[in-house]
Amino acid sequence: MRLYLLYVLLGVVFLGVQAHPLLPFAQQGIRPDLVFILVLYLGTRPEIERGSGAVLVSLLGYFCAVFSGGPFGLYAFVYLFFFVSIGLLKTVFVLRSIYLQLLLVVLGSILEGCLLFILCWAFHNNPHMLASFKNIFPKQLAFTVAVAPVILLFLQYITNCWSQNNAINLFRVFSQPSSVKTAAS
Amino acid sequence: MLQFLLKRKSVILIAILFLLSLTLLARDIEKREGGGLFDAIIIPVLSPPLKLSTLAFNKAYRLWQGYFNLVSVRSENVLLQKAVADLQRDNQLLQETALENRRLRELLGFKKKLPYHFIPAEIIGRDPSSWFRTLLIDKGTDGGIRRGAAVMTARGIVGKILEAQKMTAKVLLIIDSNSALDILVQRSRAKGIIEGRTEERCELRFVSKNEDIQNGDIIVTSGLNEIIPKGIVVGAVVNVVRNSPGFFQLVEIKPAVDFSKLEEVFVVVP
Repeated sequence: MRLYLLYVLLGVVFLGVQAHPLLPFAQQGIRPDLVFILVLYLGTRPEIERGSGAVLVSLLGYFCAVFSGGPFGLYAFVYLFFFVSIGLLKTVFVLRSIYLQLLLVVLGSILEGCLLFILCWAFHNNPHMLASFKNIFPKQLAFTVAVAPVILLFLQYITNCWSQNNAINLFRVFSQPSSVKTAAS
Repeated sequence: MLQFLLKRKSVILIAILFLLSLTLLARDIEKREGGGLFDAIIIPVLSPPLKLSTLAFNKAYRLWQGYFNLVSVRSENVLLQKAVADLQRDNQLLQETALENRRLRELLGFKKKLPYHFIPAEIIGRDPSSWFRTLLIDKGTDGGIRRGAAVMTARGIVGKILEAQKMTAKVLLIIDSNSALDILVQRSRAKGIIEGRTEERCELRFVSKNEDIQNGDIIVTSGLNEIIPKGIVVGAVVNVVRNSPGFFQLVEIKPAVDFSKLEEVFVVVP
């Protein structure tokens, strides 16, 4: 549970950075999708359970919608779609290597752009989304891919720290005398 | 049956989540609902750090600018004094015209214009993606803001309120592709609808090819929608294409507001 809370907190921090009014180059359409990178990362993690993970990424999607002008369920749907898709990929490939995760971010960002465009076009029939798509998509993709290694390394670092601390705590519990262990249990 | 459902609970949960998001997605953007609960969670968490960091950066930037601007302050002062004198003269003339206008409207029995209030607000967030152009401001329904109200700066219109929560409100910028606003061409009084395209351009739509529109014409709000006052500057015409196919001419507008430098805005409420 605490691990999920940690990821929610990370998502909120990433969202805060993404939605910050003073983010450099943001007005030129350069706004990296940090929450999306987190969603892809969560999809690759073996410790994230499918059902709880789906709730977690949907929550992150709804949080994004609070700041966005898009339809309310848009990000929740997109994030959930990618989380489930990576979950299926995870059954075939081992996705723990940072290079594979980076490849996932590149492919995922391209697909995310296409999916956002298709959903906005299909549900809201906005004919001008194509102009925005052509104008914004390459810049957003380039910047997301540029920051992805740093974000992925950071996420791996956080996850490692977390699992080490948990291991230490576990070790402490198991190394305690049996009387204390019984009392603790 | 129960065992079957319990075995597949994660699949059922994912299906429910997909359905929920699709239902919300299918709703009209202009009638966005369902954000209240998430607003109540996320806004109190993110609003203070966003507000504080923006404030600190702006203060530091102004201090830095103020220090360097001292170099040219004397020559600028002379220019500004001249500008103030010109503006005072113009203001007197405009006040006379306004009084005359009011008297004539009373004589003709026209409906009295509603007084508007200007509520200052600070920008605390922008759209997290580049796909939509929205802002989050630090005033909501508690501050008297309501949906559809105009948002402007001294230079012109910024957008309108898309969604108002208790403490915050979301502004749909005129450069967003979902935005549409009734306008008038100030010189020729031609009417049309302005829609967002890119950061630097909007498109004026549904203007007949017979209408007289030229480069440099100023575009103002029409006031057709009573919530948005008439006469707020929207931008200037930068390109007119009359030989396009169809009944209407293609008109490109450069917005009066620089959206990259927005810090504070005014919400106009009747």
